[in-house]
Amino acid sequence: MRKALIAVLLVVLFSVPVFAIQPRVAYLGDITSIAWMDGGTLNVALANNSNTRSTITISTDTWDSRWRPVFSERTVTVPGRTIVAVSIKPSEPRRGESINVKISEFRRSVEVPIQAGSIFNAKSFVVPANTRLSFDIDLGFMLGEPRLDRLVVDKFYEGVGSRARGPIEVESVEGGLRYVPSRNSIEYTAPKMVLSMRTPQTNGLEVITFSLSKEYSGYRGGAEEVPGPTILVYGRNFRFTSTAAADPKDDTRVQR
Amino acid sequence: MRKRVFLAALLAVMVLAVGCTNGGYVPTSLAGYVYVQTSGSSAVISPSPTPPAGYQPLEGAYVWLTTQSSIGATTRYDGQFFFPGVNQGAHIINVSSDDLPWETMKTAWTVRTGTNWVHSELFPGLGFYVIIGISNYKYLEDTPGPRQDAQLVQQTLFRDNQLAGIGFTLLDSQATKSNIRNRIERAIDFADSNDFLVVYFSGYSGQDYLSPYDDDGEAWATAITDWELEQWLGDFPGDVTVIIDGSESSTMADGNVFKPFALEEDSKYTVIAAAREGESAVYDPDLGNSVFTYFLVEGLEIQGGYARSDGNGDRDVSANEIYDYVFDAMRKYYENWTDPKSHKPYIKEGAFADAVIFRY
Repeated sequence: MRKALIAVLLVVLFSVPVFAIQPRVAYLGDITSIAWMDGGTLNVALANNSNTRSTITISTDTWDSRWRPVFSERTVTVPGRTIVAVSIKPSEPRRGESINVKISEFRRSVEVPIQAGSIFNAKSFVVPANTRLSFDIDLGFMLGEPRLDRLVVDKFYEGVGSRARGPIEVESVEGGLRYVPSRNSIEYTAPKMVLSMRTPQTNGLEVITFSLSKEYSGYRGGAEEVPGPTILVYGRNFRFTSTAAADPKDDTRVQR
Repeated sequence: MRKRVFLAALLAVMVLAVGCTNGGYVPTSLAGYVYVQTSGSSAVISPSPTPPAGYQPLEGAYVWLTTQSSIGATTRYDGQFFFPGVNQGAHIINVSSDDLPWETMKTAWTVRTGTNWVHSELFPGLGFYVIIGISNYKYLEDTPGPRQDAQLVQQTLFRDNQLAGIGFTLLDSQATKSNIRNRIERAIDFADSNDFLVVYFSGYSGQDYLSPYDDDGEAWATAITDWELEQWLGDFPGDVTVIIDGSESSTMADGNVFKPFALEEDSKYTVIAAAREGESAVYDPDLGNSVFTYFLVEGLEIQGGYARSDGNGDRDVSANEIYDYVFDAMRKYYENWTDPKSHKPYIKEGAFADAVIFRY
């Protein structure tokens, strides 16, 4: 008995803690919501799974240096079977705190985790069903981690709370150190990997995510999971309307 | 011989120097003839000794300058006055007489070197225009648009305005918090209850504040808050119109946070703001200006003999008229506010929102 207890203790002490990766999505009744930062713009997508419209208030508890909320509360009406994406320009939080965002309806409210500053460089977080999706992953971080042996890519993306699943392909891995014979030199280009996948076939709404694992060698070896983006996938029974700015590259107007 | 040549040269230099001094000195003076309409409904100051048709000389009227003390005189039999030794710069000329439609009427005139003959209508009140545009900030990120906005507003709302007025324009580094306050105080020093003040601001703003050039973006003390602006403007004896092209600028007049001091409380203030709470002001490089100011100035443009915003065609534009024009033009520009960068203008109507701020 004592031996078994010691064995359990040893396992607990020396095993590498593996954190359960929580998909960064929030639910409020029939509303499914994700949020992400795009430069200085905060985007909040609200998907209404019901057939009736909902009135949702987006707010924050984060304050700026003048003790104001970093953005003003706003109320959005989300029609039934519709995704509405709202763009917000928050001001700079005081003391560099991270921004939080809450959605509420009547007396219920829930915090929506914000996806920001990852290596995945996701171009869009709300995508149609059955379309190809790709991510340019910046691998520069690997050079700064000498104990990092390998980076393992999930074989499949998974649906959150559903059976949706699809293969992830590594399209290319490029960059890093390279010998150039013509100049007889070793040159460096930023290493990157392109992952692609086809979003699931659905008529309704799916939330998908995937991750990478960093595997370390040595005495304290183990693995660390790098959560990938959480993406809303919508089928033909859903409509996507964006109050987010159109492609900013086409719009030269400047807000102040 | 050498001594004679030296003396001759010295004499020549002295003569030249004296000649130059005399030739360079041009006394600065202000003069004009005051005429009043025979029906008694209006008055003018003219450079001509002959009165315009329907006018007669105003004899015995007292003419004085608000802007330079100890200058004043009574008009002669032909209505003429002459003030030597007037400082160069903008001056307010007042005329008092029982024969005028108002007991005291005035105009503004910029005095330059030489004799300045005034040619202006006389008004019961003057406009004071404080125009501020800040694109380059001391501590905050530069932002395109506001400097050009202020220059355009200065040209249109002040220079092209047929109402007499005094203008103070502050651009970029001139627009410090203390300078803005100082210009408002100068307007207060010269104004009476018949005058009006128009403050135009384009730059950074947020909930309940404007950012002057030296705002650090952190402390309230470096910003101009709504109640602080109200305190500055509170002593202006006439009515005040504040026009703000900035984000969330409607909050300057919403009565929050310090309601007793807010511009919202006093009916002498009319506030036209570019954006409501949560909305950002926009600069459009295709327009060359911030959207709100572009349409504000467009509303003052003459088309078919009338300003576009002059709804009743009386050749006078009030704050209400210009707001109506801007709101409609922006609604079209922002496609019924469906454009994600839309911001809606806002008006806080004071008791004088129908008073004229632009005449053409």
